[in-house]
Amino acid sequence: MRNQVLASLGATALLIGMSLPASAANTFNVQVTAATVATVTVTSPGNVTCNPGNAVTGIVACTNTVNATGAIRSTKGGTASLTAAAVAGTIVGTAGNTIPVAAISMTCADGGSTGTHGSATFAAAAASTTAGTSCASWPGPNVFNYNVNLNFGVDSSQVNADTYTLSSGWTVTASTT
Amino acid sequence: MQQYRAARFVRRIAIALGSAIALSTAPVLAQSPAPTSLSLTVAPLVVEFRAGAGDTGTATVTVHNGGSDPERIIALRMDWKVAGDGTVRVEQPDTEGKASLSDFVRLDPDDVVLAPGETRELALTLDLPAAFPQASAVYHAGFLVRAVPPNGHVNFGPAATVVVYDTVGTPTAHAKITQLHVTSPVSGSASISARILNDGTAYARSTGRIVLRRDGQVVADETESIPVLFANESRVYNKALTGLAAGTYDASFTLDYGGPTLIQGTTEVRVR
Repeated sequence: MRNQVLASLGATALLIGMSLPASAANTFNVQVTAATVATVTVTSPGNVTCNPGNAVTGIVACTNTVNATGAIRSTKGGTASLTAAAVAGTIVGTAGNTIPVAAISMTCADGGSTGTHGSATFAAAAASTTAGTSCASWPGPNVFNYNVNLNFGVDSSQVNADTYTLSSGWTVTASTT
Repeated sequence: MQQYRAARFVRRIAIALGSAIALSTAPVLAQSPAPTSLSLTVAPLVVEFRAGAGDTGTATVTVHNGGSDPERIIALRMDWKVAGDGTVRVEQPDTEGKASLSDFVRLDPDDVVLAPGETRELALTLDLPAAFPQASAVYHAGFLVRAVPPNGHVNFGPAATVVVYDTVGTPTAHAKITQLHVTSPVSGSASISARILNDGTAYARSTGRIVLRRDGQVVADETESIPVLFANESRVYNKALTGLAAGTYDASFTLDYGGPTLIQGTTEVRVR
């Protein structure tokens, strides 16, 4: 026999202990239900291309800035984050040179985020990955209206001279747990 | 079987991205595509079930195209974990081993085209076999929901994760602070570092409260949420406080892990 159960959607069950130590715990339960939701609008002005030129050290800025705007409502005690993920672990230049995606760094600049959240953390020259690199994160509670500019650079010490394009399939992902 | 699943996942990713993987491994020709803007709304981002072996759970996930062009919405099953900074790391299904629900969740439909302004409801189903473990624990999986153009490609597109938890039985919620350090790396600042261990069998969605007192007076009192911790996981929580006058402070870190008690650690720090 199979049972049917309905999910608790984005609900947060908080048990708040009001006293210390444990032996003197006085507890009560609070059930808070608030829908978790994310809106993500990603605007890209065109290709993001990276060319280290003659540089052999340091980060060389790539062309164009990707903008992400929207809002995330997290769980009551949750955190929310924006991550950027590459589609593949390598990028091939126009001349055929191959670089690891980690050679592409990402810096996220706050473009005027607001909301009732804790201190935001923005990426500063963070290495790109396929699993997702944190662009911005906020501890709850719990509404984050964000406007973030993603600027990329290429680590010239890791790559041969070539033009590398961050091609189709990168994602900017909103999450909360 | 794992290899087959991995290959199937990669194939689905490739389909989802419009063969982007193939493109990314070939030389890219210089091109200047027109600016693109895609907008996606997903709700809810967190779905919690209490289903055991043989149970079926259902929920509804709503997706909305807030942009001015049609969008193809693609939902990919995933496993996930939380990095130290709170970021959700998307993983292939079954990566989380026994803790994974990815074989038992589905979203239907998982590939739809939405007109501008259109909203669609997707049916999320958790279907646990009779042989599913009955031990009290929390299992998890989820979906990566992406928006791409119906035809062609976009270099950067929006996505959101829908994380799914299933609590089986009555797992024990408990966490503890195993280390607490407070230092003053630069003048006028205090840096708090607390290692937190989830030694229960439930997940912990915690908050941490830091209080600094000088001569008995509270000079800083901040509370922040801490990314979810699964059973037997530990994480270091770091927090910097600035604008402090030189002197000796009593520092306390209180962890509310969602259980019946609060856990507190105290120490002393001399701010330069």
